[in-house]
Amino acid sequence: MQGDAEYLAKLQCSAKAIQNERFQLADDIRFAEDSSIMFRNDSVKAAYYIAKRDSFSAQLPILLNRTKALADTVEMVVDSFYNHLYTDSLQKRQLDSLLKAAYEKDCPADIRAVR
Amino acid sequence: MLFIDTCFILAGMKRINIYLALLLVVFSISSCKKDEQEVVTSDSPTTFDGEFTRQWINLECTIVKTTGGFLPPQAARAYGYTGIALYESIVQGWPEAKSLAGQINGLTEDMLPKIEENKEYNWALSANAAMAEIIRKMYEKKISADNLAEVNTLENNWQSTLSYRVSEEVAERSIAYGKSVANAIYEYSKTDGGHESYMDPFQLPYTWPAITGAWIPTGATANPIAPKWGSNRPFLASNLTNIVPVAHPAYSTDPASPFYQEAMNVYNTVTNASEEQKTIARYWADDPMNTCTPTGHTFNIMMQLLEENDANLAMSAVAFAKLGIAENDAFICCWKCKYDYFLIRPVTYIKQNIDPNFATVIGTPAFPAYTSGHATEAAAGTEIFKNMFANGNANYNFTDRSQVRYGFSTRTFTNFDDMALECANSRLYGGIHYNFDNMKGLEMGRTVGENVINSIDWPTTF
Repeated sequence: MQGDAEYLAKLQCSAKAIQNERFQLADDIRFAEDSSIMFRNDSVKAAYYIAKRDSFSAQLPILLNRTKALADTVEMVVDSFYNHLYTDSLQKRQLDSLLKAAYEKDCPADIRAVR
Repeated sequence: MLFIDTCFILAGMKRINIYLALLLVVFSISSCKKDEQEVVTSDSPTTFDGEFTRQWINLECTIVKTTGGFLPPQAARAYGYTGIALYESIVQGWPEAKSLAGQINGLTEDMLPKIEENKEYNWALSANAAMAEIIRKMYEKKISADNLAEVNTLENNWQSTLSYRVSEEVAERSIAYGKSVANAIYEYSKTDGGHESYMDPFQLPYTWPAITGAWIPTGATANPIAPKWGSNRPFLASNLTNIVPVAHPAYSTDPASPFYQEAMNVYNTVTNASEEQKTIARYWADDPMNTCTPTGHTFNIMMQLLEENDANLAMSAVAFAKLGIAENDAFICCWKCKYDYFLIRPVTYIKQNIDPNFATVIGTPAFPAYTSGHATEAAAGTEIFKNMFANGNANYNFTDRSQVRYGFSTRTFTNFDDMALECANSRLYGGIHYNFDNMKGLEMGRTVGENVINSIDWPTTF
C-alpha cells in the first residue's frame, strides 16, 4: 500500500502543478479583463489589456488538454486503488493517510503552496 | 444439461454410501438453483448493479465541462432530467416505487410510455438506453463529436455487457422502452422555460432593474447569466412558494451600517485568509475553466457515496432522481432571489467604498450576489445525502476524493452539514459572497432538499 500511496502522491503532485498553472492563467485573464475595464476611457491602455487577455486566453486549450490527459490517468488510478484494490473502509482510510503523508513528503513545497 | 444429468444420477444412488449421496444432493441442489436463476432475466431493478449509472453521471460531468453554455443553472437542469429519465426507465418494473407522473410539476401519466403487459423487460438495459438518450438530447445542439462518440461507446459497451444471457427480444424491447421514456422526459423538459437555454445563457434582452446597490459587471462579461431562470417551472411548485427569503441588510455606504460591516467582513477575511481558507475557496470553486459546475461536484460526491454503499440500480436511480430534482429546483429558487434583489457583488462594493485595489481569491461569476448558488445547491444536496445514507442524520464519515485528479488533496468530513457549511464559507473566503448570501443560501437549500424528500412518494427499501 505504501508504494501505491507514493505513486498516487506523485501523480497528485503533477496534477497540483498543472492546477497552479490553471489558477495563474485564470488570474492573468481576470486581471487583464479588470484592467481593460478600468482603462476603458484610455483607448491605448484598454487595447493593450485586451490584447494581453486574448494572448492569455489562447493558452487555455493547450493547458486544458494537458489537464485532461493527466486527470484521466489520475482518475483511473484512484478508481483502481479505491474501488478495486482497497475496498473496505479501513483500507481506504489507511490509503488516504499514506497518500497525504507521501504528498507532503515528496511533493515540493513550492508546488503544494497556495499562491 | 447439468441439472438433468445430476438429477438422473441422484435417482440411481441407492447402493453408494450415504456420505457420497449427501454430497451429491448438495451439488445437485446448487446446480438446480443456479439453472433456475439463470433463466430469469426480468428481475427487479433492485437486483442489478448500479455501476453503469455512475459511469453515465461521470461522462455527463465531462460533457458539461466541455460544452459551451452549460453554466451552473443549465447544468443543474440537465442533471435533473437525467435523474428523472433514469428513475422513470425502471419504475414500472419495481412494484414498491411510484412514478413521478402526478407527483412533479406538469408531468402526467399520459405523457409517459407504458410497458407491454405480460412481457419480460430487463431494467438495466432500459436504464442504460434511457441515460444515453436523455444525455444525447439534453446537449444535442452543442455536443462535440468526441463527446457524442463517448456517449455511443458507453451505451454500446454497457448494452453488450448487460445483454449477456438476455434474449434478443427482451433486450430490444427493454432498450426501446428506455429510449421512449427518455424521449418522453425530453418532451416534458421542453416546456419548463429552460429548453436549449445553453444556446442563449444570457437570455437577452433583459432590462436591468434600477435600484440602489444594483449588480454591475465584475469582469468582461457585460451581461448577467440567466436573468429569467427564476421563472422556470420547478419540479415541485412548492419549492418556490416555500422559499421567501427575507431581504438582505439594506444597501448602504455608511461605515456604521450593517451592509458596510458585511462588506468589511469580506474584505478582512480575504485580506487575512489563511492557506487553508484559500485552499477551501479554490476547492469548492472547483476549478477555473475546468469544472462541471457545483451541481457536478455534488453529483460526483453522490457517485462516490453510492459506490461506497454498493448501490444497486434501484438505489442509484432514486438517488440521482432526488438529487437532480433538488439541484434543479435549488438553482431556480436561488436565481429567482438573485434577480429579485439584484445585489452588487462584494468585489465591486469594496473597490468603490473600502479599497480600490481589492482582489478576490477566485474570480467572481457574472450574476448578482444574494443568495449564494453554491450554498443553496450544497445544502439541497446534503439533505439528499442525509436521507439516502445516514437515516436523516448528518453524521457520516466521508472523504471527498473527486478533486484528486485536478491536484487537490482529499477532504474528509464526519458530518454532511459541515461539508455544506464549508462549501458555503468557501465563497466568503474567496471574496465573492457576503456571509448573509451564504447563510440564507444554506437555509433555502435545506428547505428545497427536505421538500424533495417529503413531497414525493419515494421507495424506501432497495
